[in-house]
Amino acid sequence: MLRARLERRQRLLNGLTAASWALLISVGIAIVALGGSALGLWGAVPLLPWVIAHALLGIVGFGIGWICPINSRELLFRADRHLQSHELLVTLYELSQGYGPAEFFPLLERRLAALSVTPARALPMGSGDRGRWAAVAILSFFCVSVASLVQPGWLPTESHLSATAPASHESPQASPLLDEWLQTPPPDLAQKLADMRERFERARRELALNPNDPRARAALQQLHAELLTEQERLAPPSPPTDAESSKKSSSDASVTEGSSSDLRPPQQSSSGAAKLDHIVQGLRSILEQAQGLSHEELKKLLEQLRDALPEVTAIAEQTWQETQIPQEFRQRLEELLRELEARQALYEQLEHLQREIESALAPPEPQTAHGEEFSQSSPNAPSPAEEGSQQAPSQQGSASAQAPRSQERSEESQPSAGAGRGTAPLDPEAAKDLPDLSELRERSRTIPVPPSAHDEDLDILFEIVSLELPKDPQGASSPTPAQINYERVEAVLDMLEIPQELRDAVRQYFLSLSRH
Amino acid sequence: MITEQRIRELQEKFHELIAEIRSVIIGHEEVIKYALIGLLCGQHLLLEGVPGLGKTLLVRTLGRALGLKFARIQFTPDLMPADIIGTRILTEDESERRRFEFVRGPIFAHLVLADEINRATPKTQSALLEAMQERSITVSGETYTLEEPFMVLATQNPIEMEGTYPLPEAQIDRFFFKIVLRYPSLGELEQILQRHGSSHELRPVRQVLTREELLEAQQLVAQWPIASPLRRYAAQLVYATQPSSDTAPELVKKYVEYGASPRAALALVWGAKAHAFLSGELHTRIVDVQAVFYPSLIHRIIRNFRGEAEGIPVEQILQQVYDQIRPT
Repeated sequence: MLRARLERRQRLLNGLTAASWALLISVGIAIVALGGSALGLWGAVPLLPWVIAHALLGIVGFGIGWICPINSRELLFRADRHLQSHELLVTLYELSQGYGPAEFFPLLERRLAALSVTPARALPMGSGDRGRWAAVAILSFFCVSVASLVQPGWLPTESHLSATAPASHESPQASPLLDEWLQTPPPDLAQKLADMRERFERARRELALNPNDPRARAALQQLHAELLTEQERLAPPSPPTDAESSKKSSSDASVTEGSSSDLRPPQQSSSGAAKLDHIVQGLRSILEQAQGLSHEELKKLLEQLRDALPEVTAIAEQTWQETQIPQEFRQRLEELLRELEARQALYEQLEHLQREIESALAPPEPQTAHGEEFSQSSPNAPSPAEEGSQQAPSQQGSASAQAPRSQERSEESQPSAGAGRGTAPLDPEAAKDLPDLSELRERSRTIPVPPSAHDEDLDILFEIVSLELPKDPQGASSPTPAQINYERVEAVLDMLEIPQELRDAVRQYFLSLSRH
Repeated sequence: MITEQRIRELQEKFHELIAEIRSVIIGHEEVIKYALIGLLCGQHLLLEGVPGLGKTLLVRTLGRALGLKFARIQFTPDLMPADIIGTRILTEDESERRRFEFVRGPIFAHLVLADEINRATPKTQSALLEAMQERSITVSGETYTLEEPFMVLATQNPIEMEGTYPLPEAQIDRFFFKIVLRYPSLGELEQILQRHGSSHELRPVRQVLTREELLEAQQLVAQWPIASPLRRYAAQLVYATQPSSDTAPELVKKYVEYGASPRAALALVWGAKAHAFLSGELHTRIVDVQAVFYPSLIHRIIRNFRGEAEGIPVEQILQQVYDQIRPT
């Protein structure tokens, strides 16, 4: 029994010895790597994985030391020397193994009972091991110090913890749904889109021959449903946040810097496209602002953006926690952005097709010059009050289309898409009264644009409105008649195809506003 | 069946024996101890010392205390082997028939003191050494076994080398221990004068151990437990005295012609067992091996010409071996 205890003790010591060697070597290599990183011989050393690797190496070393075979005779001989028991243990062991006269065994066993043998006293840790562990501790401390100087922020320091730990409660984390959505790669819809397009063209040809063909209408409706499903897959999931928190975040956003408040999600639209666009814009803004920032500055930036862009900041913070190094953080953010932009492009293509289907499904009607009549006569066209619920995808599309980059891409890939979306050139007569477009275009890059315009010229028109309209300090609480009219116009603009006669009405409306 | 009580009784008897010898012999504690170790191992000892140090007295006292038959042979150049082992003489029995009868020599004793063994011729020396080794003698084709216990204590005088025949190394190797008797200290000398200054008569010695008890103790010591690391240590010590070994210290490589023989390793282990017995322990320890290191090896190291020319003492060489080889 004593032998078993001593053997366990010896295994422990062997394990510790092996672990100390493994750690000593690995920490030494880490110091060399950090030194090289500090001298600029190579890039940043990913220290957190290194620490994990050190720990694993230590564990492996310990395991190897533990399973090393043990010579019981030598072990007991060594224990005898530590206990100063004059080779009593080893003699007893050999007598028990049949070496020597067995008659002596009980005599010596009685002597052993008089000795108070403890494994720690019999097999103390050697001075070499103690020295090695001390060296490991000193080198580790040195390593941490060097790492703090060379690569600040790799280790969660106290200030870091105080910044991140409470933030985990206060700041909104990327919801599981959103996280899952981010982890899911965008579906490959190219083939499917082509197929849908073909089906749509076929149905539309049938409808052109017979507008009341029920089979073609049913096919279009099914296609529409499929499109909605695909859009849902592409769009980010709705967060389970209540209205109050969103309201709070929007009110708090005024405190933050302008760039973040500009990227605030649209209040009216909670559609997938808008959210997708909001996330892309937010991440792009963070990426731009993160250029050249140090570790601490980056943390500060994320903290500042937390209230204004809760979801985007949550994604960014999650990325930050995974990387912890500014350079890697930016790389990861760029990758994420590329992926999200790919989703966005797919989403826009789906949206465009969806609009075409909706317009094809709309029954032929007499052309009127009044937008209100147009909206009433169209059974599928929603009323302004129904926009949020029934026509969410449509609005999502319009909201996403405002992003200049996505809009350009959309126009490049689908040149015909703008035909029915008010992209026709303005009347030269009317354009005389308008400000210089190039100047406005320049300004549009810096001035925030509400997420309801569709195309570039409409953007300009809307900017005129936003520049000329008197600012209402009370916000949307007391809408003016002009604003109500504007919303109606916006509803018209949300339609896929704006009739030519209505375009003039819209233009006249905006021009009348600019005069007042 | 060995019992602790019996072991204790025997150990106690030996302690009494030591005390009895010390009542006669002043000083020489180490010599007494080694003599008893040799006795317990049933081996022969070579005592080296100048005349008058009490060598003969020691052996005689030992014989009396043990109640054993004691014989003393004074070796001289004209001593013949027959003077030691005995001879056949022509005798006539009652019926007047003549026949040869073997008359046993002094070797047929339990304790034999071969005084100044280096003064006899090699022929006589070898007759004694053969008897020591074989524990039997053969005369005219008839073999006579020597009675146990049988122990020869040979003495030799390191001075007066003229007219002596130094023992060859091969014969010296047959002695279990070589015990060098030192000159007594001033205090010991005063004690000797105080105790024996008034009379030539020696103090009577009491027998404390019987022959049977001695044989029992010898058997006990023979099976005394010793752990294998100690045997390895003894082997390492002996091996290191070989100048060709990789563990040999510098002095051995430089000044030793031949190292200790395997018989030296046996002497180390057996002597360690007996030392442990005398120390009152129940098993052999490292200190027991170390205690018998010098007497076991000192006469088995043969220096080379350089060592002898430079006067390097064997003790110094052994000291280096002792210091360098540690038990592992």
